[in-house]
Amino acid sequence: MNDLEEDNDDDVAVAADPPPRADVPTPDAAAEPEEAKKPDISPLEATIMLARRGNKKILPTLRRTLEEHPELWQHFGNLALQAQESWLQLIAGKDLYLSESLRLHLDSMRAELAGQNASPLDKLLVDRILAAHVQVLYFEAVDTADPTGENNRVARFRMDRRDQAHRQFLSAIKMLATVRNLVARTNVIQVELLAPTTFRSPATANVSTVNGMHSGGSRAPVSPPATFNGSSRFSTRMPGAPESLASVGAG
Amino acid sequence: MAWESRGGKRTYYRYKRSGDTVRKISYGSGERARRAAEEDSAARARQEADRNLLAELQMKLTAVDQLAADAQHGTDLLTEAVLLAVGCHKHRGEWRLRR
Repeated sequence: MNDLEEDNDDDVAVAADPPPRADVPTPDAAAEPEEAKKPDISPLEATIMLARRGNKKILPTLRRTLEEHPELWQHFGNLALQAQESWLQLIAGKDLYLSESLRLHLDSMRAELAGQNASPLDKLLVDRILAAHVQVLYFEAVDTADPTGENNRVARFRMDRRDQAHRQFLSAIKMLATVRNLVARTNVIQVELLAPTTFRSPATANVSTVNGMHSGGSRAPVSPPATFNGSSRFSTRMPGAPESLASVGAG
Repeated sequence: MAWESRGGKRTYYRYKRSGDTVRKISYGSGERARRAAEEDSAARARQEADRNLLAELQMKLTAVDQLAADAQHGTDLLTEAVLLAVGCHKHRGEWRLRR
């Protein structure tokens, strides 16, 4: 890139300002609207605090909050992508070849980890894994580029940060595995962020899996899956939900 | 580490701590003193450069760290919400199905 800078100013202009990806809002571009539509998460936090204390009556409210606020998933999904993009910019700088290679690498990892029909939670967790992975890559790249002694305070800082990023990476993987394991075992809830055009109507909801029992075997009998109003872009579908969604966990 | 004037003569000293006591070591005023002063000055310059580099690195990472922390906080929050909603609970830091 330095050669480009010296040889041709036009090339530099192109190289210095890569076209933003359509699916990833750049931090600068997204800052304003993101700030404007930043969701208020305090009701969710308050509900979670009550649920943490074992208050089962709060669970329907918690589910309703998740259902009725798709902007939460959207907001934090965007934040995760922005974080990845920022790390990529730090690693690659003006090297477009490197940044595109890394993006392809991340896309392939994302596809592999999330698979098809991933729920919004799966996507968020996968993005968290990827953000930690890029962070590890960044500190490894910096260490490789400047292999100073470990007694140097900058090197020590980088080493600590790399270890921290690695721990976050492992913890994110563990969380994804835990969520997949537990949610699959409960067979109760699937949270899907659906575009309005692909909203799954009650008529198309899959009822063939309803076998009268939870996958756990000894839980309460179930009724056909609970569905939600079609106006919401966000659907919390519960294929094996006992009674209605609102009553799950209330007893 | 300092030059001190004693009887019209400049003498270079280093201070070394061992436990509670601090020893003041004289390097005289000749070649040995000059070398020690240069070494100390270079070490101070290196430390200053390190400090600047570290501050620069930390500043570069601040924005992206904040972004990553916000994203992680949100992901944790929503994960916890979903797990609680499906009837899980946390037992000694580990998520379990409620029986």
